Amino acid sequence: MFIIKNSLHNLLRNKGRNILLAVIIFTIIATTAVTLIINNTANGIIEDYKHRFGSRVNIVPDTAQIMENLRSSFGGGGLGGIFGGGGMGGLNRVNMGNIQVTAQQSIAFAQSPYVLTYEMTASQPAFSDTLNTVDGDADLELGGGMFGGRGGGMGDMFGGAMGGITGINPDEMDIPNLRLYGNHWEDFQNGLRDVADGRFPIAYGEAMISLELAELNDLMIGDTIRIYSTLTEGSGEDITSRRVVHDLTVVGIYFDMTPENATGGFIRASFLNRRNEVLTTLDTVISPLGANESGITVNAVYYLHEPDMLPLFEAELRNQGLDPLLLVTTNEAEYLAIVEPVVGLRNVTSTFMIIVLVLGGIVLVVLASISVRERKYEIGVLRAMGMKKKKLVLGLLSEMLALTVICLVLGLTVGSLVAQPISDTLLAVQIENITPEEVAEIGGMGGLGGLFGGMGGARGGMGGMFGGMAGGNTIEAEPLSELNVSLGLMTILEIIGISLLLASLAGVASVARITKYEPMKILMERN
Amino acid sequence: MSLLTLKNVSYRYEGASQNALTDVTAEFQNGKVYAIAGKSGSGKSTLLSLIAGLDTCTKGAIWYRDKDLKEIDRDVYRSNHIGVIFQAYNLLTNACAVENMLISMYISSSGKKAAFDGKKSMEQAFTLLENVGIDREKATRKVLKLSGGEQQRVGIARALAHNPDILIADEPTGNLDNDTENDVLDMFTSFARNDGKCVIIVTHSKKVASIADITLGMKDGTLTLAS
Ligand SMILES: Nc1ncnc2c1ncn2[C@@H]1O[C@H](COP(=O)(O)OP(=O)(O)O)[C@@H](O)[C@H]1O
Ligand SMILES: [Mg+2]
Repeated sequence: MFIIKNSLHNLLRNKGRNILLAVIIFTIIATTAVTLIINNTANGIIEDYKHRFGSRVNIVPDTAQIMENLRSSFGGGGLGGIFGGGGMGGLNRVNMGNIQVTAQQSIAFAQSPYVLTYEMTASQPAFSDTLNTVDGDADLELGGGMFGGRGGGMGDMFGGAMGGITGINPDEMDIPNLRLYGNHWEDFQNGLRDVADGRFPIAYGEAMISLELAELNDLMIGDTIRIYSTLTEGSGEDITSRRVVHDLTVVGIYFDMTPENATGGFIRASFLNRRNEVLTTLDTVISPLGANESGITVNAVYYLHEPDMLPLFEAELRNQGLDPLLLVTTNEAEYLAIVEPVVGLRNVTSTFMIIVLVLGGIVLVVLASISVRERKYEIGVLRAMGMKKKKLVLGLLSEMLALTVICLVLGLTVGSLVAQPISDTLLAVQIENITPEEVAEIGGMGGLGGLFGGMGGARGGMGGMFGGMAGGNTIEAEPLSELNVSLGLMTILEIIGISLLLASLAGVASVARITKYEPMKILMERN
Repeated sequence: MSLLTLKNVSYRYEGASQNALTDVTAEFQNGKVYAIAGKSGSGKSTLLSLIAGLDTCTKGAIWYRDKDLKEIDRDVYRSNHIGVIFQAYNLLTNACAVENMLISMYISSSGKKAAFDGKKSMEQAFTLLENVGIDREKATRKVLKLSGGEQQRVGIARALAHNPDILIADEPTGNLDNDTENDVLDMFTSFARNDGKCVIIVTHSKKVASIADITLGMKDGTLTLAS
């Protein structure tokens, strides 16, 4: 005990040197604390996002492979030729039609044991011969030409859903002037739509319609409407189709915030107008679908129990006949884009911490051995009085430890106080460093889907509107711009560990020196 | 049997070309005061350091009672059996006089059965310091702020603090005024004659030599029996 008390006294006896040592140890501990606090928080967030995004599975077309296939099937014609030519719409449709996940598949995949939960929407062109639709007046102008040609502009509008029916004589079928949506509430979350009256449909046969559609037809909550949709079976010459009758009860009326006409009047048609969308439950849309029928587009996102179940899940889907041109992916790019600033921040702080620890460690070891050399005489005297080396070392180590503990308390306090402002500053730099192209890339994901949904870049706004259908649901991928750092127990333990490591490093350096000193030599040098 | 026996002791400093001590043989008994005189550089301090167990001799042997110093725990020997008053005082300069005493007493306590009692030791330390003319105020001052003579006295008190069998002193009175020198010499002789200890003093002083029972001469690293 005396030896430890004495070493505490020693700290005060040699103030100058110990203050210098303390400043260095404090600096190391404080910077380590700041970097560790930021690092551990960042890691937690990255892990969290990884888990969330890593388990969120989309099924998307293998665009690279599809383009490759297109290119080779057209010989030397090149990509430009394909997309430049008038046949583009048709080509897209044919290829997309072949490789779409069928509605039945989408529904079956959700039953996989690896799936924890899923988000599923369904949509289907619909038709009413009694309702007045928004832009319905323009449908007459466009007339039958719309469905006249195989490769026509509108044909691809319906993507895979209508892909197979182009062989039918358009006169025999209902020309869609509505669209039926199951479980499609995204626009309400996005703020594009709002409930004007009533409530959301929850039971089979309940529906929500737009304010405009309600006004055009004098519809009120509680009224029923009858609309039709078409389901088809078979392909080519053997195609058959049947009409499905939906008797829907209006339980809600929504208000749509988007411009009345998405194309700015360039094309007006009732089936293009969002206000003609009839929203209902998933079940209402998909329950009439027979095992071999098509005509409904189902979009699904699956959430797995664990991110690493992806290969198992994929194997199961392939087993169930998922087309090789469809990829089972997690949205890694999106996850990476979101956590990019945080990863950058973590890398900066990690690098900084390593530098501080290495440099600080070196300085500390040098200082510790210098200080021991300074104290050589004192050590000689103590040894001459018969103090055992062990006790001497114990004394020096307790001095070092006491100093470290003081610095640890100060360093942790200061570190946890400044970690947040430092983190904010560093994160701001990281966000600035993200190039606009990268942000565009994030936003462009929906656009890619739009291209293969048949809307093409030239069609402007519509690409975005239907983009999600083929590309899978996309979430807003804003890079993280805020990081609330906090000092956790693990972080405290790590900092204590690092401090003790530093203290013992310095201790070892001093001890290595002490053992070299023999009292005779030290003392006789002075005589 | 002698308390301390030197048998053909030679010593050469590391890297030195010459022996600092050559073939030194001597015996030291309880209850006697020894004086070692000799020119500067003749090897007196070196001899004391070896007796103090700070190093082992290159050739020959030093025996404490019936044991070769090479074979015993020299830390315990230094802290319990021998008290050294260094020529250069060798005090802990950042600590005060009492702390110097306490550390020495603490170190020697580890070789004894009784546990170290800080309070009791502190009182002992003050008394011992008062005996050599250091009052309480000076005793709690940083050693560095004491005069050379005062530091010397602290060194003497420290050497006596653990009641050793052998007291060795390297020019102990060099910095002392006449009165204190007399006091200190009285303490040394009393320590030898009343307490039965062995006192070995290296000195230039005729006065010191005169109180010694046996005076030895040192010349070029060899010990001669002076008249
Ligand atoms: N640390 C040392 N290294 C090498 N030689 C030393 C050392 N200390 C003393 N010497 C040499 O040993 C001899 C004896 O010195 P010392 O015992 O101090 O003499 P004294 O105490 O009689 O003046 C001298 O020649 C001196 O130069
Ligand atoms: Mg000398």
